[in-house]
Amino acid sequence: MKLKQIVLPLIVGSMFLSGCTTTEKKVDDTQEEVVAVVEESKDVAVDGLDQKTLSIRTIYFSFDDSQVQQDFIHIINAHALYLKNNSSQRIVLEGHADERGSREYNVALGEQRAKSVYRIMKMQGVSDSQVQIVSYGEEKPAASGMNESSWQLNRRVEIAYQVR
Amino acid sequence: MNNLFKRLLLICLICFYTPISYAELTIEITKGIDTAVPIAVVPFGWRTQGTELQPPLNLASVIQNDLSGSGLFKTLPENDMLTQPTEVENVRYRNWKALGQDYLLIGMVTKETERYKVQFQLFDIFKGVQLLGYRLTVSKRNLRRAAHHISDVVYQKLTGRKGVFNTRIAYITSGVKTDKQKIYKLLIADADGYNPRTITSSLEPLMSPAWSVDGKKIAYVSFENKHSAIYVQTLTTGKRERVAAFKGINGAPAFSPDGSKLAITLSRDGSPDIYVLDLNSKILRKITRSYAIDTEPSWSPDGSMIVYTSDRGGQPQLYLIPSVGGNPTRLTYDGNYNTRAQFSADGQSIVLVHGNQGDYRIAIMDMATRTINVLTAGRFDESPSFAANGDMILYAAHKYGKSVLSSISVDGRMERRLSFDKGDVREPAWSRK
Repeated sequence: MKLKQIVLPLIVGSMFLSGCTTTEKKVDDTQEEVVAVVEESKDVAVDGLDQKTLSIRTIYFSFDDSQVQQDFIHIINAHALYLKNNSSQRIVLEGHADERGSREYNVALGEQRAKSVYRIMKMQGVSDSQVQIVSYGEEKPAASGMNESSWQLNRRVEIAYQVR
Repeated sequence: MNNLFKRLLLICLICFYTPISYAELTIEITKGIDTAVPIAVVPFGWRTQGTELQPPLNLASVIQNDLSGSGLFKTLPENDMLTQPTEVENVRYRNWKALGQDYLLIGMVTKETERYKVQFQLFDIFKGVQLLGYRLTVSKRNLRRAAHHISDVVYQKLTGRKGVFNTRIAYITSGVKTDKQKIYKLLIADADGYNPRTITSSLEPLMSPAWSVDGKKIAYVSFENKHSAIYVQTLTTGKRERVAAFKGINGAPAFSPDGSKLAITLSRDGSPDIYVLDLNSKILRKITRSYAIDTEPSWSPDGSMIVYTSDRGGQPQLYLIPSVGGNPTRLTYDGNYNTRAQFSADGQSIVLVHGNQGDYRIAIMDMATRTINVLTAGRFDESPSFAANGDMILYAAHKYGKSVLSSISVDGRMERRLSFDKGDVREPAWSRK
């Protein structure tokens, strides 16, 4: 599962960069959308968004806060647009919290963060059936240090594309 | 101030550093009291028709660890004993008085075919009298339980309070497997950390273990299906049942005092709320109805109330609500973060996580006066759990760059740490039986 998640941005990235020309076997499976995405990339480019934006799949949050910060809205919008145009693509929004405070409260906080991201996507027309939410609270930290530089990496929502 | 604290800590460490090591676990008294009562626990005698030179278990050593681990007693090292009597005829009170001992415990183990007869006697050195004497017969398997039982009896006789040496703890560990994949385990062990056994393990997170009051079942949260679900596992059979796997959060299980219900957190209707699930009928009743986060329920001992965490006021604070639903009352006003409450067995206090200026500490609230008393000094203390007798609190803390378990007396005077060789140990839950 972890491997698939890592491969995906490469697929999305290469779809924008080179369309169908890539010879990677994994990309062959997604041949159909590759065409669609290449078309879509024009629109994306107009908004100043590119494959680089879509390759960002982590949204960060402030302490004990589930509001999406301004800097991340365009990233969420880019994913929303991609999802809207690829209605069979599904994602999981994984909510996370830093290690401070109690664990079940952090599960709730992580879910609220994921729901904040989801609401923005929904406003862009992403369908309910494309998005699943799961919160791991502080159980799956991205960085293990007990300091702010680690914590800020852990207060996050990960947009995980599901490989069909 | 900080320096003073460090020096005090150092003194405590020098005075009370008595590591006890099992294969995986180390217990050290990190803070003790100088009024600890001196007691000599003499190695038990051994009688057998067979050829074994020693009983299968050194009971005196288990009892010594129990009593000194409580922080209330200071046990005499066996090397300092002038004599090692195993029968009352050989007890000379003046020998023990000379060694500054207040109490003396002696015993004898006799093998009778497949069972073991354990006899023990406790003496008051100053009064020169026997305080108690008992005999019990156990199987080989239960010798350790017998030793803890003796510790309980001695503890109760000398402190007037019930001992908890025969109880168990549940906890979660996470470690890295050889292929760098994380593995999560739910374990239970005896209260002294001995005899750890894995209840369940998963490559996805496990969390929030909770005991039934009778000590027969454990509820916990597992993400094994990449989604949270609540399971109830019967310890004797290993049989487990998935009791909640709704859309959204399935978390924070807590058994009702009679064991028939589980208070849980679900977010199936939107925001996380407290529900009560009847384990027999599977009927679900929604208890809280806020648009905020409501989670971490704990039952009052009479089952009438539930204390829980809610951020309905903007910050997480503790609230109290009737367990059949109703109007919540806010309990905490001191500080901007008060969460994860648990009632004591007598219902007179709750233990909680108290956050203040970035530090998270374990605190006790007296339910009559509603005052909070902060017990621990850690920065990242969490998951407090009362001992059945209410004397000690077990919690998780950060030390040496990892999560360890600690226990502290409710007056804050005694503290000990249980650290394991590998990985993080967290979310301790102390059984009531």
